[in-house]
Amino acid sequence: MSSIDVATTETTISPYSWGADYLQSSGTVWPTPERRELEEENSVYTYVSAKSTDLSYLWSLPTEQTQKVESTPAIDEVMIKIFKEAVDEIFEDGVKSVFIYKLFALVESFGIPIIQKLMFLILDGQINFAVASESLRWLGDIPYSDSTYRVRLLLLSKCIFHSSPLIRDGAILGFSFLDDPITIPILKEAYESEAVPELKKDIHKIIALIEA
Amino acid sequence: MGYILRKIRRAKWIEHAGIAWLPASEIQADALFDLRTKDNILSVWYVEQDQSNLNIVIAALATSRTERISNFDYVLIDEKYLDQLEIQQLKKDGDTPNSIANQLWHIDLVELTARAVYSLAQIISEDGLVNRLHYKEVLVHVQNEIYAGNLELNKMTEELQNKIR
Repeated sequence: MSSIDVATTETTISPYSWGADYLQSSGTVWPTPERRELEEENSVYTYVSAKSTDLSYLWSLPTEQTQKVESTPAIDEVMIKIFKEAVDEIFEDGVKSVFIYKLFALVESFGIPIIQKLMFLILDGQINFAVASESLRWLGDIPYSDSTYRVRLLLLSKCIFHSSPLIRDGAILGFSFLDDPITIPILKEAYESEAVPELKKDIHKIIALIEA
Repeated sequence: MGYILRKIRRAKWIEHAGIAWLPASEIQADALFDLRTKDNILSVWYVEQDQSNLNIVIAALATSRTERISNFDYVLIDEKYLDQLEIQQLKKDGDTPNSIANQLWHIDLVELTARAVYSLAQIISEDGLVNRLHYKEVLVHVQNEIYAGNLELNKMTEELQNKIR
């Protein structure tokens, strides 16, 4: 994994700025295994580019969006606000919640930095897992031509190996909406490592549906 | 005797859902949210013993108030449990784009106590058939129902209508 120049985002938000109460109430196990790895490796960029899963094939996709893009404090603030507000929302399959409308509006306006920020927040264990899972389900449904495709693919590819089954469930559904044969190698790898029978069955079914 | 179908979010009903404090064989309290009542009423659907109407009901629910065709998580429980729990059923029209399904198979479970809802959750956890259809599978059922003329497009959200057209 040497030549990935995909943008990843350093953040100025402290994971502790949300408070222990919030993390506890959200069911977040803190620090998450991903957070520990992050701390050990000392940067998101290193983390994203150095994980064992080989995602190099993803970068053959056509896109001009390969340069590193910085997240801004304003984006960080808005992202954290909408994720906090979403904790009280009711999520229903197929129904676009207020949270998703806001997230899609941000992705449309700012593109890649939003997905990068989302990746950091999820891998860092800073956000409620149910909300994170909801965002992953919907991120697979943005049209392929969207310039954020590769970063969304990377996000889903990381989250399908997350320690939380809820996050993995969201990523699996995100992949099902992508419906892209390029994702089959990563789905097969996820199938091998998945411990929850229901999720394992899901991955198997999605591979079959994509291949059909 | 048939089944009772309720749309759920399957992730909440998985044992060992990655929550450290949750004892084995227990279901998280958030799962009860899938059995939320209004005026002590729970909306459910009747599915025939041979499940011949299952896909019709799924297509109806998947196009009701949704902006996209999505995965569909649901649980089936044996109708006998409603009798055992002495839960009253009231046949009442549903509110989906399939008017025939609305008339034939929608049921309100009425005058529910907290204990009855908890008992239903326990039955789902122990003996419910929890299943997930992925969006491509749901799409096939929706297309079949549209071709059969059973789904009224104008009863769907505008966003879904645009996607289907």
